[in-house]
Amino acid sequence: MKSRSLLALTASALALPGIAPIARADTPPTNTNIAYRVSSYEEDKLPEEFLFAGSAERYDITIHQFQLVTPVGENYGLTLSTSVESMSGASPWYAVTPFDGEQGIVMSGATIHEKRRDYSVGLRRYLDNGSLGFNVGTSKENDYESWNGGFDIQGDFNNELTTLAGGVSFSSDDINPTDASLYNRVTDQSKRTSSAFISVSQVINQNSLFQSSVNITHHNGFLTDPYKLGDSRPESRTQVAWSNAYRRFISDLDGALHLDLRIYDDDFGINSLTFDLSWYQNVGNAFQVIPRLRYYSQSAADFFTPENDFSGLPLFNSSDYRLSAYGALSGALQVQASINDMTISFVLERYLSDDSYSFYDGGKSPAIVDFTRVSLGLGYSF
Amino acid sequence: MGSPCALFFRGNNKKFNSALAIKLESEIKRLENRYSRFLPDSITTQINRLAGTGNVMKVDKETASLLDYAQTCYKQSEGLFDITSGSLRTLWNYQDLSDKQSLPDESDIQLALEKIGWGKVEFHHGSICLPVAGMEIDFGGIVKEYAADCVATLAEREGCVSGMVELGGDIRIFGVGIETEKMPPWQIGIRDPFNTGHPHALIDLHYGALATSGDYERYTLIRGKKYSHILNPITGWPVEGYSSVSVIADQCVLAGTAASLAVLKGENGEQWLRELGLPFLCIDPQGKATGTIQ
Amino acid sequence: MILKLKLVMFPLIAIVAGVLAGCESVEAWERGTLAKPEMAIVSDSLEAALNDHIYFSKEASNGGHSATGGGCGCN
Repeated sequence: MKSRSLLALTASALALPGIAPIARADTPPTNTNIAYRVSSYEEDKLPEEFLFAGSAERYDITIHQFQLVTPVGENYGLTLSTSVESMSGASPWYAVTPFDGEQGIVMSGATIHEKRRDYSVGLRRYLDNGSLGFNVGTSKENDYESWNGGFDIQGDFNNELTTLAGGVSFSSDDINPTDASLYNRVTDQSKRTSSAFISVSQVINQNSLFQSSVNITHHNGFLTDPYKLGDSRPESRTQVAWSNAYRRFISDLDGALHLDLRIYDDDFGINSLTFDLSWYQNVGNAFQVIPRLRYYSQSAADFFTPENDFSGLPLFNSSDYRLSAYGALSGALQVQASINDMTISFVLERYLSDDSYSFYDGGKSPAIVDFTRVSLGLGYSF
Repeated sequence: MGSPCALFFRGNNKKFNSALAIKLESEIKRLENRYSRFLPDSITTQINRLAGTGNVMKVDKETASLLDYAQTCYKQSEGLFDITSGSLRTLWNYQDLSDKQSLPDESDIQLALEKIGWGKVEFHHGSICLPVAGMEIDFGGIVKEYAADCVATLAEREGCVSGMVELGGDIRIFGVGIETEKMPPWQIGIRDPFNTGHPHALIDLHYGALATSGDYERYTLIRGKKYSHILNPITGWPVEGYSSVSVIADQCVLAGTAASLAVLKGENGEQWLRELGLPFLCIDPQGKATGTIQ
Repeated sequence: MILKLKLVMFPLIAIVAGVLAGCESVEAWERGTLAKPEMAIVSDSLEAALNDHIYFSKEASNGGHSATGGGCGCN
């Protein structure tokens, strides 16, 4: 990462007509960039009063991410990414309502240890007024394998003040739950996902820009969680998400405001609202401090029940907390330093969920999570 | 441009080279006609003539982007690089080396400072207005390097395989054949500020620009002490720092700005250059050289 | 629930229309600020990818800014 002074001077120099007579907004990356990030997050223990059986300890997860972005020739950019995720801990198995009326969660007994690895390759072809992108990837765990691919197109209009983009992606997943015979679980299931998006970006003035995108996803196949007793979900799911992003630079403060709003709806009966607010504060020539606040609120799925129904009567049933009505507030602080060609960043995040944070009514689950995350990142440009 | 200019080409196609040389020279002439403050019809003179009248002048894309570049330099140097500071030169006479002058009065300096300051200039949306009578802008610190870059762009557009332009000590190397035909680098000499015969260092440069700023050639002699011709626009006094600073960058404007800013920052120049990240060489008045150029 | 969503959607459409209507023309040499890394829609792609993944495994929603990538067993 070049010093901020150099970036500012270079940008201004490149705008001179004698230097860059054919101004191109979309250009391949000028440098090769490698980035690494290690993150660790820990879910808070399940509160004792809700634990019916099993271990109250929840997930402890470590994720390593690697990414390489490099120009290839004059017109192409290549992105290689990989990540390794290690999970250990227990998760909710099923829910009951013991005689005293309070909800009780039965946690999975044994602590699981799992590793997930994913790899993806993306190639981008830059043209005079836009670009085309193509990507493939795979994700593997001992019980889950996914292959995905997609392509997208981006076009600049209106003197490069407006950008239209669109794309599709497909994913084919195979699920083979562990300990299937022991717990009478299904085996050898599959799921197919297709997704499409369109988006518009618009420069508002010298200091601000706006982007709006709509994304539709359709899933087909085995959507039930095989590790949750009595869980049964429909075999198809359609989701729609509408995201809006606003970026504004405030020169008096030497910082940028980021506002993001996403509205979501699906045919499981879940609606949600996500609101993100962050402030990118420049400190001197080499540091950035970024506080962030996120608010999330979701409704419950149509077939969510706080307590599992084992009677077999309802066709679809789940007590999975992720399908309950709840809200979450998370606060994060990121600190970044750029020294010569290197960047170092550090993030601390605290995520708290509560059914009272949601403005939706609906079934509640005591198993909603709180977690703390720490990340350390390194980047190098050459 | 008021400075010596030289063009070099590699390749044996004499007809192509001489035709190209004519095109490039006229490009340099074009910029001189537009921006020289000595010419009565130049854009610079037109802008300066309106100073203090309250009239706003709408400028074309090229001028607007040069003014924007000057503004970026002003901000990045915290006000030290200021294209309105030219009028300070009347206080410090560089033509007379007889050592018969005396230091200017502080009150004269303060009076002159009232007429300078980019912060006072109204520049937005492609229009400029100089609010104070007697204020003037001077592209001298930018347009020579910009001309070198324009020459390079034009030469490459015409298909020149490998060439070099030198404008008043600033160098820009260009060419479309440099990578594909594996051309050897150009050997550039950084002038020794004290012994203007022999180069201080020789550098191999494949592509890009080398610009040098310093006060070894022009200075005022007052009571036996040398005063630099590079003036601090905030205090009105000459800077005290390096005798010569050379910087390498892809564009000549960038190299030239970095070298000028380093000299303007005086003793802090070297530290600033280290943080900036471009290869550089600083030579102090005692002849000691420091820097990251190989 | 759908009603609450609609309550948010219509003012949002109005804001979007208003914002787009008020757009200025910004020349090439005036785009320095827009090119700053902190003005990008996604400033830190690893952080964004991480957040997408973590929130996807804890919440019921996904997607928004681009076509969804690969799957994993975490939801």
